[in-house]
Amino acid sequence: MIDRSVKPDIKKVSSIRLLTPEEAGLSHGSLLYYLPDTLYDIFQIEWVFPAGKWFESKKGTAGFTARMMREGSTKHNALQLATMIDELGAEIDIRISSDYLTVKAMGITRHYESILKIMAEILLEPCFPEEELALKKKIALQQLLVDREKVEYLASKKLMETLYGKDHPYGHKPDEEDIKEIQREDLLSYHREKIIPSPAWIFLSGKVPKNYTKTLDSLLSGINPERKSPQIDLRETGARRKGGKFFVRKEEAQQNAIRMGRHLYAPSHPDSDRMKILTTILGGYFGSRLMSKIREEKGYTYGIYSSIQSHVHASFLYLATEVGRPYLEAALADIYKEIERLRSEPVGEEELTLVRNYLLGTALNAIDGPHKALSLYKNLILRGKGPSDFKNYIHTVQNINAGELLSMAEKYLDPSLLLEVVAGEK
Amino acid sequence: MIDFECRKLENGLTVISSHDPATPMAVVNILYKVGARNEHKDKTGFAHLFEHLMFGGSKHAPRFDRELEIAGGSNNAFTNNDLTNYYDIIPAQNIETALWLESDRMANLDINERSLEVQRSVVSEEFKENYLNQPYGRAWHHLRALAYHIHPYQWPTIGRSLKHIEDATLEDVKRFYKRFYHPGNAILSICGSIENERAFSLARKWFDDLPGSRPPMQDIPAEPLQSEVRRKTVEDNVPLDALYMAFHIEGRNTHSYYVNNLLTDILSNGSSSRLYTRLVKKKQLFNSISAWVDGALDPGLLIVSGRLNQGVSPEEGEEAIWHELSLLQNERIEQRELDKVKNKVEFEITGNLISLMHRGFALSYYEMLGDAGQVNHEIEKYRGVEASELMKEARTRLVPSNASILYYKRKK
Repeated sequence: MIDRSVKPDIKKVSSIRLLTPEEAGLSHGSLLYYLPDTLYDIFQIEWVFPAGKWFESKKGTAGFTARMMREGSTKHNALQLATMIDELGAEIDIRISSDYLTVKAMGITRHYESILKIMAEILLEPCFPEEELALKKKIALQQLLVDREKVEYLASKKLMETLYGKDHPYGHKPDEEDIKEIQREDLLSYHREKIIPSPAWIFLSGKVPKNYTKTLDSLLSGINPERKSPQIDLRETGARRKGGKFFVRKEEAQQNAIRMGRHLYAPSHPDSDRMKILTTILGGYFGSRLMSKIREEKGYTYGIYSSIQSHVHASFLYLATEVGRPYLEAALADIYKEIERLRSEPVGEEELTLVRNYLLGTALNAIDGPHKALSLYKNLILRGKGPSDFKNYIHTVQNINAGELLSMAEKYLDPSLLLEVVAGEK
Repeated sequence: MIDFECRKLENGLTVISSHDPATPMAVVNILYKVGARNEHKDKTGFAHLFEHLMFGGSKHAPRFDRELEIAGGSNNAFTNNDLTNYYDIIPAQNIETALWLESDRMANLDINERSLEVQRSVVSEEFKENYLNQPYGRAWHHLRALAYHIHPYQWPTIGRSLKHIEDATLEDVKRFYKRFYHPGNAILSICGSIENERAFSLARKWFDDLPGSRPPMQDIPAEPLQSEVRRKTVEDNVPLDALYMAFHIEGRNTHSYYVNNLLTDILSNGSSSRLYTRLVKKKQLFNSISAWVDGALDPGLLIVSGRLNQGVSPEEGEEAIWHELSLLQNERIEQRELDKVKNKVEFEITGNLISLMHRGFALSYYEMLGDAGQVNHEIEKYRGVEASELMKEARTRLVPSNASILYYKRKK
């Protein structure tokens, strides 16, 4: 009979090797990163342009450009394009983030060429039909009404607006006026100025045919006519405001959403790995202090999380939870208490081993297989980093000590510099 | 193609192993054959509440998460109407930690008042966060109660009401644990960089001493056939009116499930699907719309739901949906359109199995359905469905006498 009072030995994760993608400059200047797979007949490709919200001069332009690129080209209307994609069992998705516009396609290997051909058409020749735009605007306006019923939406919107300012690409979400103002001309010129001439990064993973670069080269010849390679401008953007408490009223809400945050630095800052570890201890995993205290000990919430969010020009600390109405004050007090504790007491050895092992296991899982590995690689490249930064992160996790964490907490977790937003009925 | 082996321990525990040498990770997935359908009508939400208590510690591992995390692992769980599933993802060299933890909580869960009290509160907050405090969040409570009168599918997994969660007692918890959490009611899958023989020997090492048991008796009442349309209108603080239509279909383990799943794909999978192109884009009646099958073990539901554009009444929306359903009943779907949705299914199934975590769950799940090997035949099953079957199924199922219709209206 097994004796369960004896735990199995734990073996440290010693080697974490990030697969290195094949790198190729395409003839038109874009950079291609490719990680092959032999097992599954699936591939994924992401075309990343520096054309996110950061680059728009009129609010909402980047988002609507992305939403509208599939809605008709000079050769096919929206329904024809959608049918072509669906018939191949493929998915083509266009998204924007604060900094980038990404066209992503996934499909079965035998349809590689056909999927890429449609992708190129969507990228190079969208025509942004007037009536499709009117419909997208109508849908977005009504979705806004639904979002505004959610305390989590109200709180995070207020936090970001206050942190970076309503006019800053990291600080604003389009409102009614922005949406109504969007015109077809805006999308045409955004596409003409920010996408066609842009050098792009291309991330390809999975199983692909032998001549995969040839397909890319021939289809993309219309893009980036000056044949430049992609560059990242890494200037830091500043915060508009530090500290302060805000309340957004939402009638009849049964829970209050709490959002807290502060601007930190540009993502390449030397403190960034240590701060990632510190926020993991605070609220980055199930065994974190906030989770243990506010969920597992007090039962105030279903979940509470803290993390470092990184854009190209800024990283910020972000903390989020929803708590029942009667618990608001107590939960806030506990959050500040936990933050204060990180600033005054060194993290004990046991907890440090716990978080270290947890982060190493998570890192190993995060790069497991070509698709996940390339996704991590992509996030490094798009923040102006590279594989050596991942190595350094692992090294920092393995070697960090309590003193370093304490000084990070003193430096960055000053409660008077944290913005606090509550949305709900109090 | 997923290679695996399946064996049964003497105590009734089913063990499946699928060796994947390409990954440094391992997944330990344990599915317990218990869900909301096994609950008493006055104590709903219990299977899910119990899932939370499974993280409250066991005799030799008072802190489940911490023990797993210190070994580099992470975990989660979910409950639905039919099952409760737990999974641990861990560097393969530490797989024994996960097996130790899972076996200890199967053998000696620490059931105490304090853990129950906290989790009652956590689950109440989850109830608010995902249902009560969300626009349209109560829709499933209304719709399920409308569609089912006898069968326990009449309430959602979270439970019928907050009160049921608040009233759960320690006695309830103990009884539930004894009845459903034992080897004979569980399916363990081990996937990843562990050779099959080793996986089986580790499973024996950690689970063999648990007393043998058989699956509990199921006394779940069958839902009587519906004979006429059911309707309900709710008014709530929502910005747009919404419409939900539910139709009874056969259970997950029938051929007809695959037919109905393809029917809903024809209706709403992808931007070229019928409901999206016609009712959202062309007629502009709906702001969003979708159709799906719930995949329940016992006879389940096919659901069509959408939010209407401002100024469009639920009646208009409903009429347009009935028109689309009548097309499915009266016009044979062209081969090209049918192939389209089948291609999409093939991509989705293949894509999902890349994830080790999903593979672990899929093996346990198909074994619960009767045969883990089904994981490799799903695509064929969809491929084998013919257009005439879709038409026949639409004629039998997608009719008013089989429909439960909920209007979720904006409070004036």
